[in-house]
Parts: sequence; C-alpha cells; structure tokens
Amino acid sequence: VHNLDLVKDRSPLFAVSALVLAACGGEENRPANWEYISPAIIQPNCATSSCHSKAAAVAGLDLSETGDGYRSLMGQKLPKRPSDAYMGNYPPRILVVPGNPDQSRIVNMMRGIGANLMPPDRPLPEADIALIEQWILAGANND
Amino acid sequence: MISLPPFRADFLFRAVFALLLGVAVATSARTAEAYPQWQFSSGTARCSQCHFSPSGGGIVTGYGRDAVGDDLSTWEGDGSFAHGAIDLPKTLALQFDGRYAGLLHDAGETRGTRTLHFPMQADLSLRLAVTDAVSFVGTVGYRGQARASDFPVGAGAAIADSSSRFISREHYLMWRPAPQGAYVRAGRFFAPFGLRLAEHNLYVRRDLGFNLLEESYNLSAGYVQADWEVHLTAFGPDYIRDLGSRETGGTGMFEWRFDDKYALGLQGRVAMKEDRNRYIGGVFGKAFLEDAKLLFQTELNFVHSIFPDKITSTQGFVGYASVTYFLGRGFWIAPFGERVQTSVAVRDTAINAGGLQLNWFPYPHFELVFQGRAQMPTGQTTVKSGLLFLHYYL
Repeated sequence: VHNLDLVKDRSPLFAVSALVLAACGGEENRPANWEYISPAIIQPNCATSSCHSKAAAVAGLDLSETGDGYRSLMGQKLPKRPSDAYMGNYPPRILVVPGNPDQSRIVNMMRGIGANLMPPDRPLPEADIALIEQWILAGANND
Repeated sequence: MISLPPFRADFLFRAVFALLLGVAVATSARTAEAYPQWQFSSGTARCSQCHFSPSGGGIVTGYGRDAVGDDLSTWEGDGSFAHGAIDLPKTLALQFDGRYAGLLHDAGETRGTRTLHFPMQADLSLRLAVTDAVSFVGTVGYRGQARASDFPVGAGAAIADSSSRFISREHYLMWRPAPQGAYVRAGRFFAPFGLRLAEHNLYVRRDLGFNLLEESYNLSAGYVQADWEVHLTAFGPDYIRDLGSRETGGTGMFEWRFDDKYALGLQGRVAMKEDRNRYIGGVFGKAFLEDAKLLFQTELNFVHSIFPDKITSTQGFVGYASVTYFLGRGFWIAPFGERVQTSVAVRDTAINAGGLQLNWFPYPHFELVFQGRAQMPTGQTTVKSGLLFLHYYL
C-alpha cells in the first residue's frame, strides 16, 4: 500500500505545502512496480509522438501503454549500439535483465553509460532511474 | 584515418544520422504556433485578432498579416499571402509554413557535442468560410519521426501503427458569428490552456499534454470579449493515428486582461487514462511594461496524479517564467527558467532548465529564432542545446 498524498484532506494549504516541499523533498517512497513506473516515468518521457509511441515505435519499442510497454521492454533485443548490429561485435541484448539492473541495458541507456543517452533530449532525474533499478532488482514483474 | 567497409560506413552513417535526427525532432520540431509575446506588446490584446483560432495559434488573419508587414517586422513589407502576388477571395485564407534548423546538442556523452541541420516543418494551412458564421480550418504537413520504423531491431519488435509521414495537425469546424462573443468548434487542435507558448519543448507544454503532435480531438466552446475570455473543452485522444496521449477529459481556462498591459489566467484540466488520472490546476500571468520594453510571463501548474490501484498518488508541479526585452522593432531577447517536479514528496525528481531565446522578424514572412537551453535533471548530467532556425511563411 502506497499513499503518497502530501495533503490527504486536499486542504487549501496544498499549494503552499507543495512549494515548500519542492525545495527539499524527502526519501523515496514511490512504489517500485510497473503499474506506477510505466505511466509516471516511462510514458511521459519515452512515448512521445516521434519516438516510442504506437505510431512511431522507434527501434521496435512501443512504450505508450502499460501492457505494450512491458512486452516491448521484456521482449525486445537491441544491439549495444545500432552500428553493432552490422559490425557483429556484440549479440543483441535484452533491455531488462530481471534481478540485475547493472546488466540491464535500459539503465545504462538512461545514464548514458556505454550507450546512447535516453531520452536523448532530456535525461531522467536520478531518483526516477533509481526507482527503475529497484523494480528490476525486485524481478521486473508486470505488477 | 579509419576507413570502414562500404556497408559498415553506410550503416554507421545511417545510425548516427538517425540518432541525431531523433535528438532534433525530440528537441525542436514544432507546429505553426502563436507567440504570446505579441500580446500587449504589439498593441493587440486578444490572440484572436491575429489568428483565426479564438484562442490563438495557427493560420494568421489578414489583420495579423498586415500588422507583421507594417509594424512588427524590422523592415516593412507586404505581409499578405504570397507577398501580395495573389489575391484570395475573402472566404479563403491559405498559409504555408516552412522551418529549417541547425542544432548543437551536448548531453555530456563521450562523443561530445553533436551538430545537425534538418527540416523542422512543412505545413499547408487553409481556412474556408463556409458562411458568415461557419468556417473550416485544416492543415496538412510532413510529420517528423526520430528513426524510420524499419530501423533494424531484434525479435519482439513492436510495429509502428502507420508508416505515413503526412499528418494533419489541425482540422476543425467552427461556428463563430463574430470575432467577439460566443463560439463553438469541433475537431483536432490544442485545447486552450495556460500561456499557450509556441515552443512545445518547454515543460509547461511537454509535461501537461501539449507536446509535439499531441493535439487532441475536441468539442470546445467559449466566449471572447475585449478584456476577458473563457474556453471550455472536452477532449479525447487521436485514435486514428495513435499520436500523443490517450487521455480523455476536460480543460478550462479563463483569462482576464486589464489596462491593455496585464493578464491573469486560471486553468484546469482533468485527464483520465486507464493507468493514470491527472488533475491539473494552474495560474498564469503577464505584465507588459511599455516604457521599459519588458514583458513578464509566468505559468504555474500543480499536477495531482492517481494511479491504477487508486491508492498511489503523487503531487507535482510544472512552472515557467520569462522576461522578454524588446530590443527594437521585430527583435526580442528572452531569458527563461523552468522547473518540473513529478513528485514533490521525493527528492531528486525535479528537472530545472534555463535558457535564452532570441527572435528576429527582419522582414514580413521571415523569422530567425535562436534558443539556447540548459536542462538540469537532479543527479544527472546537464544537457545543453543550441537551436537556430529559419521560419518562412507564404
């Protein structure tokens, strides 16, 4: 059970509270599950119209919905770099290795480690990447 | 010098080009939007004086074309369609918009700063007055896409819904018996919301449902007066093209103008989707200081999101502020700042950005824009970009 409401009674102080907390924030307490990560982090940042939307599905990834996004991330294999597909240096790798964020390509892409940085125009804040790592560490379940 | 076998070099070129194009499209491609900077500073109070849309943006009216030709460009000229070479009947308005851009992008990667030049936009717009009160507005254009759908992928690849690159960003039927007063319109367009900035990559657009090609299908009604306007919109997703969010809901905004220099606005949006409901409320404001040639603009939105278990929720906000200094006729410079935080309860979930935008309108039909921007996700590398583009409209 996760209840992240800052102001559960929706009081008029919400705006002030939000502004104050915006300056500091607290420890991570968001759920590390796909039902949260997909609509809160992946879809708004990755499933833009020209990238991993249904219409574009760049690199074969449709991340626009919770279900389709999970199938894409877990089923798709990509070369280390696009050029590697032809150079044959590396076998295609899956994006998520359940239980092992270090070996999960999606994490390295989001940090730009040995891979093209994703999203290319605006990297994710560290807390969002760390939450995705937690989800992978917990088995990367479709929950 | 390293030389690659021909097929490898060709593929490498394609891969690098595709990546850069991805960056370019994601950071810069855009539609023919209005500049809210013209409000008050050009002597007009309502966006709909220069645009056929009651909330601004899109195809420009004859009044707007004349204003650009006579007053707003650095050098005067003929702002009318085709530079005045073709007289269109009063019931018909046409406009072509083309943009071409160059981009520098530094995301802190080992390969360093990337450069690219690319076409941003090629749109043809039409406005046809069916009767004195009823009109149709539509655009057709080329849709940018980061990489081709046949880009080599592994097993399990999703297939793009459509390979067509042609897109109609806007098409709607409108009933509006007079420039001021009530109107109703139905079709595809951006629901009126907030400052309605032209740059889709700004967080108050990108993170609230108004990113590139995210025009929704709407039924909208409103009332526009000299010193206030209100717009109410019911919206649904683009089921035809699967572009943009699949949210359904409603949007409302109210703008109050006073002294021909100031505007205050309220906006709200309820956007529902099976895996997230968003409740957005915000305010915006403008102040034009004529003597100082300064226009202040700011917008702040709070976002309450509820997730499928109906228990998990987050509170976030998206803000924007800028100061536009009008250096001379047809030329302004505008430093701006932005912040988006998806959960104010959690540290390091924010992205701050700051930048500088220069717009120059040297001669009617021409515009040169530079946007320099640094985006700073907390705990991550700062991404710096510089975009320069030329806009020509016929």
